[in-house]
Amino acid sequence: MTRLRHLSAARPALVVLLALPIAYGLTLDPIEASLRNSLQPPGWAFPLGTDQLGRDILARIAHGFLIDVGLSSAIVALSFVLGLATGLVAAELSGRVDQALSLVMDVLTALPQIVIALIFAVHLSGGALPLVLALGLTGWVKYARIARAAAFSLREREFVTAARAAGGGSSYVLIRHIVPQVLPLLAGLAALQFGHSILNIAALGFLGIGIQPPTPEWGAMIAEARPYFARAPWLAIVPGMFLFALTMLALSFARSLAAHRAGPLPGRAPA
Amino acid sequence: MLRPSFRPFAIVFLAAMAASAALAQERPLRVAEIWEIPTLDPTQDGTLMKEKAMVTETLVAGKPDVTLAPGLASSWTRESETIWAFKLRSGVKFHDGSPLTAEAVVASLSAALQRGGTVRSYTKIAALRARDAGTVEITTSDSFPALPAALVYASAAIVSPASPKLADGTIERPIGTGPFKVTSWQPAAHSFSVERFDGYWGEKAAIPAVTFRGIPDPTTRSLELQKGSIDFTAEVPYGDLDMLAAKGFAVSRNVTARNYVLNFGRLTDTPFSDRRVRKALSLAIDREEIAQYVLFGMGRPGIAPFPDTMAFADASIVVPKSDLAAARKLLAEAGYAPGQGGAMAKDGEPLSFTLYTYPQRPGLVPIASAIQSQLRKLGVAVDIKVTTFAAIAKEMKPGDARLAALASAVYPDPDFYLRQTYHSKGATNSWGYANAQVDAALETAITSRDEAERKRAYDLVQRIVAEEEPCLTIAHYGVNVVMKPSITNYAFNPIAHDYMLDPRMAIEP
Amino acid sequence: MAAYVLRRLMLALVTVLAATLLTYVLLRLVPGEPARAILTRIFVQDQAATVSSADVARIAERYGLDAPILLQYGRWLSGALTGDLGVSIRTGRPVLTELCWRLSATLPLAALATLSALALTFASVALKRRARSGRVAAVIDTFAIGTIALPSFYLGVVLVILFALKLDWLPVSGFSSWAHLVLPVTVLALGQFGFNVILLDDALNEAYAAPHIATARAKGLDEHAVFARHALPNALVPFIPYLALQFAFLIGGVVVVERLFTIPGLGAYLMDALDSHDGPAFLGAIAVIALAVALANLIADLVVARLDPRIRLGRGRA
Repeated sequence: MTRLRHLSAARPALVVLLALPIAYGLTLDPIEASLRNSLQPPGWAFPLGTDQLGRDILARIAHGFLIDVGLSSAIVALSFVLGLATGLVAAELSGRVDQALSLVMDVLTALPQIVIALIFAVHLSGGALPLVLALGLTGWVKYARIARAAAFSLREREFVTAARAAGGGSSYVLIRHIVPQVLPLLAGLAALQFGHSILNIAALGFLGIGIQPPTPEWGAMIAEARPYFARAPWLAIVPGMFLFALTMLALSFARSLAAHRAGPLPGRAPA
Repeated sequence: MLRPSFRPFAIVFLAAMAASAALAQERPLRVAEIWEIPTLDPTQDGTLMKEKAMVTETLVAGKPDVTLAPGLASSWTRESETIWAFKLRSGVKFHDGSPLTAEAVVASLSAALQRGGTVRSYTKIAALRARDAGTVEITTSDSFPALPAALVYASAAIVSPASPKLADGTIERPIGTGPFKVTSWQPAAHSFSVERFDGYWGEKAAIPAVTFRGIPDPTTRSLELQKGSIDFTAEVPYGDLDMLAAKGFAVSRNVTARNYVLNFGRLTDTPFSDRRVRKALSLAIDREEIAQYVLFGMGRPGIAPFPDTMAFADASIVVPKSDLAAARKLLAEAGYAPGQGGAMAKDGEPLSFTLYTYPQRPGLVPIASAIQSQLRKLGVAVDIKVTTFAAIAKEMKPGDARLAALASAVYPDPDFYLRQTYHSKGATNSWGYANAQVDAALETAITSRDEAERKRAYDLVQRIVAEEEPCLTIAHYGVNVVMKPSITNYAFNPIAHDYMLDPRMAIEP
Repeated sequence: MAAYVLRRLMLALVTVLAATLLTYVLLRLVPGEPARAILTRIFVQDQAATVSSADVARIAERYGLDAPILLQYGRWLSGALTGDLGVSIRTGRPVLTELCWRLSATLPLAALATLSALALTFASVALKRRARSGRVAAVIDTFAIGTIALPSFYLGVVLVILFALKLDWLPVSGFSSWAHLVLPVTVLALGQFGFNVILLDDALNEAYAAPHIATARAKGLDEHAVFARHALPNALVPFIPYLALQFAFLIGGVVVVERLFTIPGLGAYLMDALDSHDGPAFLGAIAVIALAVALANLIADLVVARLDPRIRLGRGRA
């Protein structure tokens, strides 16, 4: 498991690299702008330079971090809860219900997440909530599949049958015995989806249908910086590097969590 | 001082030079169009066929100072309040060789009226008739002196009834009368070519052919230009202009008939109903700074409805300098005082609003962000929301505002923009601005047959709205045109909606 | 086996139906009258046009917009089954014709990207296994994870500046020669490569850990035969369905890449249709994508069914 060792070793460095400038940037004002200071290269006054409106890029990166992480967490939370619940319900009720839910899952996997977000985009109008719904309502399928498979196999295990024999109601057994077993299986997937959501939010921001500027979302920042690439390349490079580092971090966590359960990486969240 | 033995080589060399010069002359001009090109139908995208490709022409033409000139019609007379006669220019041929007749004009305009909602609503044409082979009679639905100007509208261009059409009536390949004819069209690749039309009635085009490719992304257009794969384009990123000029490209910054305007949601029962509040906001916005730093000179500070490049602008209106102290004073007069953190408030209600805008025009979001930070210095908090143009109308509340880039002369007559924006029943005046003096002046102007009287009435309207500012004009839209230095004889025509090509332009070897 | 195939086939059909129905309903729930939206859309969306109610009624009639949604969907579907996907509002051309044009750009793009990603994947995994050196493995793994974390739109911007402008080797945008394909294919292929490597590597690890490998080795089978006859087929069982999923991800990437490189493909068509409220065009593009992804899943299922004895014997997929 070389892969894990070297990536885990790099992790604290990555965390510090991300956390320090973001912590400092959060103390700065992301809206305060002086047009006369626009497109300043990185320097003493502005460590990461200024953008086309003279806003401090460091401040915008830091506030954008909150937005990207906040949105991704919301998406992961929504998918996680929905997926866990659906998977357990499918396994518990099995039969017709299970078949119907499987069908819903298959349908949702048949469309790329970005395309589903595009369909939602006619209603999105650049808001955060529709974005979370579009990505969250499509991201739960993986969780549901894993939870369902795990719950099916656990049902026949001794400690579960024992609990049932001891007169535990089905919801009691579910919450006391099955959920704790399933949760760790989903943790790696959650970290993976977190990384993916960051990329998806950024891609939608880039396509102009996600979070819109002047909100300092990283993908939108890169899209906004593109016209100035010849004149001020740091404008696109800086958010790109932060986006890269944060996603690397999330993926490396996903990898370790998946390794803990000694299985393969739980696939990618359906994109 | 060539030795005899070298002479043949020199002759061959010079001949080769001449041949390559001739070849260069024959090379088509490669234009990157700024939108995608899904259709060539002039009723759907009139400006592409008329102003850019120069394939179609209209009955009346527009001159650079936004006055009228004869087009396919050599003259016109208003015979009654609603009936007009347009005399067609003689000797005009369509690209297929057939002559321009009154029947063809009637058929073309009727089809345009059938298809689009805009041709009908802009021209107010109620009926069309071919009076004789060379005269078209047009009846308008009501008294409409601006009809000749409205006929400059590019979607009212005249095409031959023989133009190939699709099943639903969409014109697949327009057969026009202009200096260029369509020779090939690859809809899948969003590109088409035109060739010089030798049977053109006017001065023949200097370049033999032009190819167009739709590249909607400004950055990509700039890159293609630097790469050398296109010769001519418009609307490259504003930040690239200096760099392109330094690389030797011919860069021009021009003002067109479009305004950056900040509209308030409602002018009744909102802070904006107080003229002093509107003036204070207007004074706190630094238009000079926006034009220079946000638009990189692409646009001109403005407060009046029209830039002074237009003949019907009231050139006496000056843009006031930004003045924060005066703005504060006005707000104080209106009853606002700095409260918590310097936020201006009246009766505990802070003065703040959401500013809606949309991303399709590259200047809008940056201008909105600049306004946000400029008004912040006044103690007014602005929250920016970027969405689609259509969605803004539905989401915006009375106390909010919208920043838009609105065409101020879809056709070259002041009535169009002034009426829809400032008349109490104007089509876009959703904020409810009502000024009896403005309404009366617009009525006088539209019914008058005296050009001087019309001008006086329109000047009055412009002065009133620049003083009352029911909506804040921020700047007049700038469009940049960038081309290889080898292209000569190009002159920008400010009545263009995006940019216009010039039939006299040539490529130097 | 036949029952399994039939079941999967039905599932693919239901998937496409559900996806298009969902899209149809969502499209029609857009606030505002669709007829008015069609009329006022004149390329530049901020042209404030006045529209008469007679025009609205005419457009509504022409596109059959007054009928109940389900009935309209029914009409669309019965047309679609006979190959009639309607007419694009924006261009007046049959949507099917336009989709075929667009596919002629997207198919080579997607196919080349998938093939290059697979070639790169197998080469990397082979290199990693053969080298047996920690350092090589570390480099390959870091590169793989790095490509996942690198957003395609960002990579694309950088590659264009570098290869098209600074080095002047490749074109900037468009789709008129093979050279135009190099950068977009690279971006798309690298977008898939990372997960491919990790998944295939893990699947092989798991396959080698299975007891029957030891048995095969004990029987004296040489390593090549062990790999070809036992390890690889078993590793492909989880890898192939994953590739089908990857295909869906690829389509998402195509949307971004086509916009970035101004390629007139399916993804660009989808975005254009969205921007101009061209309902029939949008729905047609969605139908094609859903069909393609469903087919990819179906093919993956069938291949796995051949490889995996549990399915061959009728146990189905867990």
